[in-house]
Amino acid sequence: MRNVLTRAALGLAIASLTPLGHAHAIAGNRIFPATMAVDDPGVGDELDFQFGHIRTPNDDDNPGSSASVNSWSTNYAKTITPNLALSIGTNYSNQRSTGNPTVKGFDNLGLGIKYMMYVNPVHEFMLSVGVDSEIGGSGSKAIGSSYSTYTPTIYAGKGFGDLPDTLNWLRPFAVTATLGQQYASDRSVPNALNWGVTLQYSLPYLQSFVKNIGLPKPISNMIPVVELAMSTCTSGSCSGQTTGTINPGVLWESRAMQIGLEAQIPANRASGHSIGVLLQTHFFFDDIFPHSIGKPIF
Amino acid sequence: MRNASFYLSTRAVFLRSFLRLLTVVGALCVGGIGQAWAHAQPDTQSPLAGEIVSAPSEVKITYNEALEPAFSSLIVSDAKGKQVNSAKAEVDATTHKTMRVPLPALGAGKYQVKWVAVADDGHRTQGSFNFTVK
Ligand SMILES: [Cu+2]
Repeated sequence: MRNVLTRAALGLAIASLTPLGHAHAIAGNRIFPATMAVDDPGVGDELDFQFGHIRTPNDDDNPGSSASVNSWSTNYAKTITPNLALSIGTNYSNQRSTGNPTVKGFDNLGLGIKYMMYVNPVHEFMLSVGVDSEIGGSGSKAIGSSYSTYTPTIYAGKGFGDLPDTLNWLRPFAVTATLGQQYASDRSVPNALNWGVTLQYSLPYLQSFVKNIGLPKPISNMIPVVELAMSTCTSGSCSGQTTGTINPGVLWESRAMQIGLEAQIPANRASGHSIGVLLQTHFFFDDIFPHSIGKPIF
Repeated sequence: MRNASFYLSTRAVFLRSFLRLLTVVGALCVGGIGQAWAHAQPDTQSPLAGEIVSAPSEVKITYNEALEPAFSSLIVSDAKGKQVNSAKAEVDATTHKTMRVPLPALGAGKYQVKWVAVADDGHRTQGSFNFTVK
């Protein structure tokens, strides 16, 4: 049963509930916000807290049954150089499925490394590479798996501020994407392609750089966003199956922190059948403690 | 009807955790007070982005944090890309938050403002926007 729960949680948990290494990311006029389910392309000093609630299907023995998963996750990223950051994170989750005892505990420890390779300020483009990992056996037996996973990942972001003036209303748009191949230390565990896409419309960008339409605060500090956080199984019997969520929501930005709220809509039947929620508070340490812990070590 | 109580208890757990989180948040915010903020973003600007105005006598941007005057700049150029301000932009000497540059009498047309704001720890932000003189 533990296996069923673990598996049920795994797809969505990895795809949407355990972001690693969020960042404060600037390319020209563009600030890429710390999106919740899909990691942004930047590297920074930051602390992230998220709460997630969703029901995930128990596809194995009892079709139609589902597990209700609550997850409190935290992640801290620290810059080593301005372009290189390490991150550490975990989440506590509480899973309950009909007819079974509640399973709760800490998930495996997540470690990440991320390097920002390229920034183009004129075209608001940013590219980073990194590896995310989860250390097998570091969490509670009930929640964490015994095997480790490693996910080399590419992160990209593109703002559309370089569009011509005739397309002014489109210039606040930006897209970001991540693509990572996940390998497990246990060969019997299938590999997966973790991929994410976000589409965001920055109202601060509209107000300051395109056309000030007189939006009042706090609306002028908001970024409506849709995130797709997906995972496609690439080996074993589940090969080709994709699960994930589509998350519409809004991020509220201030100079030192960010608050986010998103719905999690299962992307297909295999991903579940009820809508979840994600709630975030995020602190930009490079802005809060620019002279101490928010500063790159080198 | 297990579900109802389940949701209740979940909500209680969630609330408790969220309150704890808010406490941490509060502590962090208090800890941050008195520190210099790092990434300057415009709070108010005149003319506004995209605004159609009669010839303005200056461009003025107020940021949400203090700037390093030596490294911050503000340049206004016309539709052909030619710089129109002859004087250098100045940062307000007391607050260090407002940067302004005087303008000559501008003819009708579109103008672009380009600014660079460097906070006192060296974090650099930049921005550009247009306004139109009628
Ligand atoms: Cu910052």
